[in-house]
Amino acid sequence: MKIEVTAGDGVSILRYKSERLDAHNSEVLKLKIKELFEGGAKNVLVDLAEVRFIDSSGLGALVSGFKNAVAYKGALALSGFQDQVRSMFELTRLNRVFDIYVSEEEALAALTGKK
Amino acid sequence: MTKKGNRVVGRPDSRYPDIPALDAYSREMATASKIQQSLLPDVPPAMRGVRMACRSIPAHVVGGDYYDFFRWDDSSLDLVIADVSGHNLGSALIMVETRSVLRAHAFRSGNAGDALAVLNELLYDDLSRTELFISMFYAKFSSETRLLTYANGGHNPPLLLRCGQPGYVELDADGMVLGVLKGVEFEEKNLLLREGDVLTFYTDGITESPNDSGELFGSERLYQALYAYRGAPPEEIIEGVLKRVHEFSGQKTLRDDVSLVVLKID
Repeated sequence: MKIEVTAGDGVSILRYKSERLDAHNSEVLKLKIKELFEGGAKNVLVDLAEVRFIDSSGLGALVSGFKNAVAYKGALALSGFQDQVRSMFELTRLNRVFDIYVSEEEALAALTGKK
Repeated sequence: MTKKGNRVVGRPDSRYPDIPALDAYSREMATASKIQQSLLPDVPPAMRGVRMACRSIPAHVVGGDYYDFFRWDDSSLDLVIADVSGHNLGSALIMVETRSVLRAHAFRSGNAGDALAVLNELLYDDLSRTELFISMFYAKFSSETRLLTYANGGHNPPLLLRCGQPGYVELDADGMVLGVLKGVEFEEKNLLLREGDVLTFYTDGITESPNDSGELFGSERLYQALYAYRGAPPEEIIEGVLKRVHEFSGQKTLRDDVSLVVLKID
């Protein structure tokens, strides 16, 4: 599992490079998002384009990120959902909590436009 | 391993067969496992007009699955099934807290949607601190009128197989997993059940059980299993579903906690 972080244009992009986001690797993502907000980031985008499977621990890491975003008065957006990821967000209704974009490009256009 | 009611308890025994040789940590975890399993009902309460069965198997020593029955009288009960995110000791502790809150409040008079809304408010702070959330389905059933009212907090929708009809109905209602936002409203829906209907509540350990190529068991296979065993008593329906999940995943140990509650209307 690898996480790429790119900062620029007011948005920190976190690309999660693994097919699974579950109990075995969600902690790393959670800490990484927290670290970005603690470090002063206001807009964080997590791109999940490579993720084929997410479980409740993976969702938990993103919910934790959402709460950190609120606590630090920032925003957390998500992009690149594959089918199983999308259906998990729909099932739990977490799709109503996050700003979700089809792709990283679409997210960046929206987030930088918002500024 | 010992059998208690229709459920296997003392799960860690197979992993730690030599009890005296266990280190202190494993012994503590084995105790936690035993206590947690003892908090789940062995068997559903007996009620006129409906037969029920339940089963929960943690993936690890302890887990975050929970189900419960609150029998108010001969013909009415509340049924809850829930899944705390993760499947570790933290999830298990929150599962125990959820059970305590539910039992202390006893939502007899309120409706199912209000029960979830109240629980969300009561558990929100602890869930935020622990960075966990809960999916929960809350149902109220009267075997006298056969009316089922329900609300859903982002849990896998139970599957209803109507007697004599192919296909299935997923019981969903608008809501959200508990512990993410405050002030969430939960829609409540009603449904009239009929004689011979089979209603199955489950946690995602069933439908997300993967096979060797990463394909998930899914709700369609769950439906096929339920359809194949629909004529059997609820205990055998559960056995049948678990058998198919094991065959599909090809694994002895499941990756996630799995729980099932089956109701068959008489």
